[in-house]
Amino acid sequence: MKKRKNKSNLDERQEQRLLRIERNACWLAFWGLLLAMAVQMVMSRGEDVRGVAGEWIVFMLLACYMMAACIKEGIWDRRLRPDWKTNLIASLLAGVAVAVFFVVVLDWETEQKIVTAIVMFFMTFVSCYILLMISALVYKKRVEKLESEGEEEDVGND
Amino acid sequence: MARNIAIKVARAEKDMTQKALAEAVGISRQTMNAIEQGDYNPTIRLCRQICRVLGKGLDDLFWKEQEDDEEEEK
Repeated sequence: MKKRKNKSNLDERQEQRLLRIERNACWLAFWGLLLAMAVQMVMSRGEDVRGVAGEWIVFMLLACYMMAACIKEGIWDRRLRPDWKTNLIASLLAGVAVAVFFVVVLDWETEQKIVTAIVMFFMTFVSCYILLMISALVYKKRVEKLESEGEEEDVGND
Repeated sequence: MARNIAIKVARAEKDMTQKALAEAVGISRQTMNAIEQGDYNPTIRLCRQICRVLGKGLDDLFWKEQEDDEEEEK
């Protein structure tokens, strides 16, 4: 007879293992979707943007959920810090990656390709940097709030 | 992590198999084995449940002297 409807069949060790498996599956889906989109774009020489719409929506939902959930919990990253230097480097890398991608994918004349790559580099770099700085600001405010909530509880318990 | 001999001894004193102890605590035998082998670090909640079933204190089953931890790290 069941004791509780929602009682888990797993004990705490199995639960931890399952979480680890789910974490790996999540990253596999994340990078798999990115790779699938990249391959599709390369194969269609950048023409089939609609073809990757489904993957893009799922990818963005995944990314947005992870970002929102992490900020809510006051978590940024294991190693990276939410400062302007790190955000600048990350944005530069993203810009370079997008520029290289456009050079590889587009089947245009060299001059056109280079101009597009440069424009895409700046657009990606600027938008990434702004988004990262806004996220970092929101994250810091959230951490401050979480920290102050803890202090209030401490005072209440005394 | 080193093997947890204390649990094995306490279990033997109570004449319990790994399976019986696991069932009494509400976990799988694999998990009980992993704890005894030192492959899994249980939460304090599970430690308390194991202590309760075996009639021992936390110190008896899970406490280690600092020297033991240092030896493990080597």
